[in-house]
Amino acid sequence: MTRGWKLISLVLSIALLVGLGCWRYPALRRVDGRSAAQWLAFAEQAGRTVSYHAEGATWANGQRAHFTLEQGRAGCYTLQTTDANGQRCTMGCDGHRLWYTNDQHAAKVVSAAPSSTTPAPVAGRILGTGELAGCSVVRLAVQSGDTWKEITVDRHTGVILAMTTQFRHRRISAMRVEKIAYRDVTVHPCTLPTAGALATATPAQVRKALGRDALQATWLPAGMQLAQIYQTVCCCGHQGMIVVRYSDGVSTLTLSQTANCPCEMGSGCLQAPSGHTLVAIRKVGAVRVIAVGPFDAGTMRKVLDSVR
Amino acid sequence: MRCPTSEELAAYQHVPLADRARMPLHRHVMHCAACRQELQALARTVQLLEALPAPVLPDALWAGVADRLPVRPRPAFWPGWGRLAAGAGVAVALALALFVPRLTTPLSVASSATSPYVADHALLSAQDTFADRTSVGVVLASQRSAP
Repeated sequence: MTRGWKLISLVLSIALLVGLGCWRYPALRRVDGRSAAQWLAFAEQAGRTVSYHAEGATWANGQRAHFTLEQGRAGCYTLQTTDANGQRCTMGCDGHRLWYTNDQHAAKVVSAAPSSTTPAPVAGRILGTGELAGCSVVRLAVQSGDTWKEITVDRHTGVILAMTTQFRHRRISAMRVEKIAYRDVTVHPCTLPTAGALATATPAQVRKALGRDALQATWLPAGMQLAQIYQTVCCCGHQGMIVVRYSDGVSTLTLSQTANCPCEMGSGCLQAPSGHTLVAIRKVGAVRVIAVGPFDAGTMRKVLDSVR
Repeated sequence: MRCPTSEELAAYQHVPLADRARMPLHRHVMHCAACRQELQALARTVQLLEALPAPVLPDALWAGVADRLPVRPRPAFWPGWGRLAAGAGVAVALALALFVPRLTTPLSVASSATSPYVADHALLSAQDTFADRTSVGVVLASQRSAP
């Protein structure tokens, strides 16, 4: 065998090994020199720094809707959805408060969590590349428990242009940007009244509401971390409801807690009308805990049983 | 050439006449009186044997032979069924693993009393880094205001 053939064989063998390695270990795949984790970090950063106007279609709960998004810097945005029945919802975030209001006169304000406290997703991999809304994109997948998301990211800006969410291999929502214009956007501050808002709670406020520290889960699904503790008013008007939010960057799990609330509510695990979200209720001493999250019944019961 | 043995002559005798001329033995037989005599004796023996009546075999002959044959083990019945049963068991287990979770009793649907908690959860989940905020908007569009 000549020296040239030996060199070609060596190069081909190395290429084969690298190819097999990338196939077996998706974390090794790269697009534009970025790994899946780097693309996800790029998309997370773009959510806070890139300003644009976008329009597109979304689907959730069996409803199709059109959306208009005004995304400003620092994670501020105003989003309006209009479904096929003409029902509208306007959501927004001004950097301090997250809010929504709809045609049914329902509204809520939440103290926005600082973006730096939002944990990174538990796992990600690169699915491939393509084109969407006139942009060159990279397709990524992230997993959180039984929730799997395919995220399509603009290769140049990092902006998320499409997202499909599956729960236990069943598609539960999908969105797709059809038009996007990168430009400066002004997001107005929230003007909704803050009565009944989910406001960040101090330890003293938690003890006053529950007569003890907030109950927390000692077992959580992989990747879930404590994100924020809020104080609000129960739907029956009872003051002093505490909400503990856990997140892994892909899904949220909440534990709403009240002590001596007049609401009658038995224990058990129930399915929310939205389908994939489960509601599990348990009484721990004088505190009633209502867990809500996109997990199966076994996981929800395990979380509730670990609450101390 | 030496005279052939009786076995060689018997083999020569069974060769068709047309083919015998090509055999080296043929030339020897043509010139050797002793061999010709031996051939004639063989031919007469064959004629005598062919004239004998065919022997009648006793009815019990096969039974006697069969008794002396070594017994070959019969293919086992249950091992075959056992393999089939094991295969069927694996198939049933796979089917159960795939379909039983879907056949289990679905959970009860939460009452409207839990609706505010689900709405709060939806709004809070909009803060997830990779939340689909547009689908949160669709879910919250149908949320009714608290009484």
